[in-house]
Amino acid sequence: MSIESGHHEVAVYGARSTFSTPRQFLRDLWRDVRGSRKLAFMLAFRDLKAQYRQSILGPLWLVIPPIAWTVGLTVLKDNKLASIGDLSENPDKNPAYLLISMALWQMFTESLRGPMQALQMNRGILTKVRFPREAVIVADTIKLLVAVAIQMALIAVAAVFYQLPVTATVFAFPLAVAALILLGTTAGLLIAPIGLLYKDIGNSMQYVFLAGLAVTPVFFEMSELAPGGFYAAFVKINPVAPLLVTARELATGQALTMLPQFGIVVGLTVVLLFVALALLRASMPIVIERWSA
Amino acid sequence: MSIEVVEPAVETPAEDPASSPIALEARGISKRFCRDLKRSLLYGVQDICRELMGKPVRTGELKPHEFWALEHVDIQVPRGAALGLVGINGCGKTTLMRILSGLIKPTTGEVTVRGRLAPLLALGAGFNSILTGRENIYTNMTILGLTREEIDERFDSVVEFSEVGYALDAPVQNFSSGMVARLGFACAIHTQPDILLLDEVLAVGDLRFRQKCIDAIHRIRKTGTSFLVVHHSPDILGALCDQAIYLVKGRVEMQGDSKDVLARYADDVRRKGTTVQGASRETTDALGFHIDPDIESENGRFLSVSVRGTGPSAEDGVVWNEEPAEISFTLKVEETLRKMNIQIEMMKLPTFETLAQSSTEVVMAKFSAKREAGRMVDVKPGQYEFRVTLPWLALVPGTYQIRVSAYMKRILVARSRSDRFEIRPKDETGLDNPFFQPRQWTLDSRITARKPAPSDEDDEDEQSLYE
Repeated sequence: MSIESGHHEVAVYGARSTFSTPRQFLRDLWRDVRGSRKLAFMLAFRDLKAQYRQSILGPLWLVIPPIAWTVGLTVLKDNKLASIGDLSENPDKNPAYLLISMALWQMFTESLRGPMQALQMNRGILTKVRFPREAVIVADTIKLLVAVAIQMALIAVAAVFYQLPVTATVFAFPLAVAALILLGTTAGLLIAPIGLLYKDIGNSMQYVFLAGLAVTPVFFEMSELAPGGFYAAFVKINPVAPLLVTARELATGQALTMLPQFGIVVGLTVVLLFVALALLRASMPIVIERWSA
Repeated sequence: MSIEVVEPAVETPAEDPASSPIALEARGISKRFCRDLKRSLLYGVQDICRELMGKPVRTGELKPHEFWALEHVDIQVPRGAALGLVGINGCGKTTLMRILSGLIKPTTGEVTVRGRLAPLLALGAGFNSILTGRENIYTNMTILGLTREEIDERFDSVVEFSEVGYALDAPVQNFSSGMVARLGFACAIHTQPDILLLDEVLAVGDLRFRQKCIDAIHRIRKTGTSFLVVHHSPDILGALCDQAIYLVKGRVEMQGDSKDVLARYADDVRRKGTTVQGASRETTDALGFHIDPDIESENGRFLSVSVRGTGPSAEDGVVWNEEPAEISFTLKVEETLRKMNIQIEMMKLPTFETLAQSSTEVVMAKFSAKREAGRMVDVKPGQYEFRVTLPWLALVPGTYQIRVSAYMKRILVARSRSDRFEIRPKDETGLDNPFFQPRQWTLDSRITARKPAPSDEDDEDEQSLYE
């Protein structure tokens, strides 16, 4: 049910639901995601070029936020204004550790924000040309991966600088990062349709992130959590926690403490991703209708 | 409610979509909209849920604040045909275009597209204003479904057609609207679509470019590309399309030969201007089409306004220059019209060629009873016939209308227009003059003959206006 790039193909679209035949839906989805690769790269390239054209610092903006957070938090902590773990008691926790935590959290929030932002940004084309909308999401993910690659390079520099022990597990780190981004993107896709219709989602985003930061082991470790209690339970069911913790443990060569949870979350995310993609297909015509041209 | 095949395609098996005579087909299209934004958002969420559960779109009764934007519209665009779509604002043209291009889903019905469809629903679809013209050509054509190699191949041709070569590396935000339109149009036609949807895209751009677009449209039609064109000017649609559909309140009011449909549309806009549009008098509607509805008041109204040639070449709807003509109208006075004045305007309607300068008509001659017949009189209730004889017509050839207005003191109490009529030239020379000057040449042999004055640079261009 979509326009093909090839000549003389027949496309039929009508009132019928996209999901009345699930097999057809999966076939269409696969075809569109595959067929939109080139378009996605083109869109990503376009955006990357446009993004820094009106900026002096340019791609530095990819690394400024985690550095700023790390510096800020280190200052607060050094002056005993914030109690975020204790670096002196925990020799593993050197500043690079904090930097990694912050960078991972930022990757997650960016990937969560991504789909909604990307769809909103491409409103101009979405309301005027029918093309595989998945391309917009894929393009956004490509952009995010570019940013992540740069951040990881920076982390590597920091790790060397602060003499963080490097073990073989570091090679699995990108996989954990990918899982984190997958979770963020899936969640982002799930909220996008409602978020594009109602501004409430976008408005509440920064508060949700603040609250999320409080229940995710970014500035603390699971072991530091007081056992029992409502808060601890909340942190434990937080799906971001196992992914972030595992990624951090892989990067710093610690023992993996949340591997089973990691597996469960990744499995569920993959299933949810299909639901999210289905939701995207179902909702875009309805959203575009309300966006108007 | 289907349209006949304009250019019959070669008979080949129906399985091959390339050979199907119908390029774009819509069957039983209806679309429900909601006027209230909050509700529309809520219905949207409900629709998403229904869709996810695999249920068809709700087709039953209208919920509060809902209305049918389109009802049971059937359209067939044969391969290589050009179909025009007209109707006043809010009649559903754009909604229909968006459904046909697959952007939004119809509430009922189904659209079949055979081949590549390029929608040009507004100017510069998907142009990123920060990026340069060059970069935008690539993005735009990729979105329209071309590969990089195909774009490389056509790039020069796109630039040449759009005539923005000199600004190719400037950000598109610095382009004029005409330049953006040109670039958008150039990109769209160079994707070699099987079906091209044009929604008001010829509205921007200068005369020369419009002419170029129209030529291009005629050219690519010959290669089998079909067109569906929405434009506010019946002149342009008439020049482009052989078939037309007239939409009124989401329903097909009339369809068939574009000449008949467009004439009917123009007539309706003129007659029903206020009642349909709710527009104030003497304005242009958002489509740019001049709306000047008949005006009547408790004092009276015009029953008829007409023009006829009274010379030897007189025929229906045509008046010849250098021949006499007569304007006649009937005024029905209901309440005494004190100090009545009548004003007559001869208005030249915009043609495709003059639209570049102005989309409104031009008053070529204006005369009033007050100035010419002296004092104003009080007119008692009754029916009055007026006749104004023009012994010698001397206006620029074109399509005209007569507008008659009745005033009480200086207040407009009634106004009406004649049907459109043609003023034609008896001799074809001097057609580019703004006024037809009656003349007679005498050659006096005592004066040394001078060389004839060199013709204007753009003489040719202007000549072509009257072809």
